[in-house]
Order: sequence, then C-alpha cells, then structure tokens
Amino acid sequence: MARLPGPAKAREEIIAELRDGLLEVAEANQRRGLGRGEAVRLAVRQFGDAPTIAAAFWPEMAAARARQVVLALFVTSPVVAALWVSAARSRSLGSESGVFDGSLSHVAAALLVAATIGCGLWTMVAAGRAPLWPHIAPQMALLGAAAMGGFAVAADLALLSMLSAPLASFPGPIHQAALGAAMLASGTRLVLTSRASRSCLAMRAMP
Amino acid sequence: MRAEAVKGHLDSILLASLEAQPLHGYAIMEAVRAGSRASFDLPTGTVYPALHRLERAGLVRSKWSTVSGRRRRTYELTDRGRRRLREERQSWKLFSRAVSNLLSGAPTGASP
Repeated sequence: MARLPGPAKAREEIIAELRDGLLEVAEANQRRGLGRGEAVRLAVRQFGDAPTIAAAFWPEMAAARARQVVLALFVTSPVVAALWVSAARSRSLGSESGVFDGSLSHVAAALLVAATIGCGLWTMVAAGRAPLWPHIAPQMALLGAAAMGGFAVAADLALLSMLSAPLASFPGPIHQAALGAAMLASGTRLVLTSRASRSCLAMRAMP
Repeated sequence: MRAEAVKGHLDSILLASLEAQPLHGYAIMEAVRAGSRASFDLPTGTVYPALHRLERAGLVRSKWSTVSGRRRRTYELTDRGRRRLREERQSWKLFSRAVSNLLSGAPTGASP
C-alpha cells in the first residue's frame, strides 16, 4: 500500500485508515483467544489481497493526482505570466521596439492559453466528485492533466525562446533581475511540469 | 454466499449499515456480518474503496478522530445518501418480489 501511486497526502490518509481497520481486526482476534502474532497474521489474511485493495483505490488516486497537477498549473501560470510581464515592462522607457513582433504571436499565445485553460477545466470536471462518465473519468482526468502540462511546457518553452534574447539586450540591474526571475520561474516550472505530465501518463497505464 | 452475489449490492448494504449511526470501516463490516447473520463475510479491506466511492458520490461524509492513539475515519449518511437508500429499498422490494415469483415455480399464466 505504501507504493500506491498518487498524491502523498491522499496515500497517507488511506494507509492510516487501513492501519486502523487492520489493528481492529487483530484486536478482535486476540479477544477470541489468539496470541498477538497469530492474531495479526490472521488479520492480514482476513483483510484481503493487498494488490486487489490497492487497485480498487486507483480511480480515487488518479482523480486526486490529476486535480493536484491542474491546481498547481492554475496557481503558477498567473505568477509566471506576471514575472514575464514585469520583465518586459522593466526594460528602458522610451524604447519603441515591442517585444512581440506581431499579431501571429499574439494569436498563438491566445490559443495556447485557451487550450491550457480548457484542458484544466475539463480535468476538474472529470476528476470531480460526481463525474459524468465515472468508469472512464479517472483516465480522462489524467489525460487532461497531462495535456494541460504539455501546453504549459510549450508555453514556457515559447516564453524562454522568444523573449529571453530580446529582453536580455536591454540594460539595467532591475530589468536584468526581473528577467532572471522570469526565466528561473519558467525553467523550473518546465522541468516540474514535464515530470508531472509523465507521471500522469504512467498512472494511466497502471490499472 | 458467494462474493460475486454481494458485489452488485455492496453500495446499498453499506448505506443501510450507516442508517442508524456513524461507523468506521471495521464497525461497518461487523454490522454487515451481524445484520446478515454471517451470510455476508467479505474481506475487511474491500469495504474501504467502496466507502471512498460513496463519499465522492456525496452519499456519505467522513470525519477523522483519534482513538487509542490511532487516526480513525468515521462515516455517516448524508441527506442524499438517505434518499438513495430509500430508493434502493423500493427497487429491491420490486426486484425480490419478481424473482421470488419466478423462482417459486408458481404458474405464470403465460401460454407456450
């Protein structure tokens, strides 16, 4: 049960609950006259097959993992965006050259944002308390979370590749510090989100 | 009784066991065993995923407490759970009456 995939807090709560139940069964066996060791061994047999019980928790853990990834992205996205905006605004005043070179990058950015938010909302519905399609909802939730992660990785890569060089050419310690913070935030989130998306896809393959 | 026969009715059985008072997992299994006069004797661990599923569906709610130094999760029916239990009882009455009629071997009146 300690290897149950998913968020650590949800796993700890399940293990705590099962431990309480197992100990209750063992204590009941002792009251019937068995020694402690035999009571515990019998309790483990009476509890049932551990892999089967763990598999039965998979839908719950899948939904929890998907929600965890989506909420992390919903929280960090405005922060990362704000850091890039402040880096862009902190460059020298009076410069007429824009950071974005035209409507195409604006459209691409808007589509990326829309796709990311759409995946996130879809995942929250699929991972919710009363999903519309309960039998496939956990699979859909994990896929939605992985997709949202993929779009966020694409967005961070785009920000780093499109904005780092143009913004780095502007002088000033404040601007450089702001740019450094934005790059660090995007780079860190890119690595963590890639790992999270991969873990969601790996979890889909488990049941 | 074979475990497969119980599986399809496990949710209703668990809701019924919580009707009188909040209980934790092991106490629920004991209530089911006692209430069925030992006809249902499922592995204790199987009840927990089912209870979590019922909670996600809004039919039961849980709260944590500490008993004898151990964390314990206790479940109780929600209003929605009580409504569902009433519906399940009604469905079961109709179903069991129909099956009893068929299994009793009484003439059905249908022509061959």
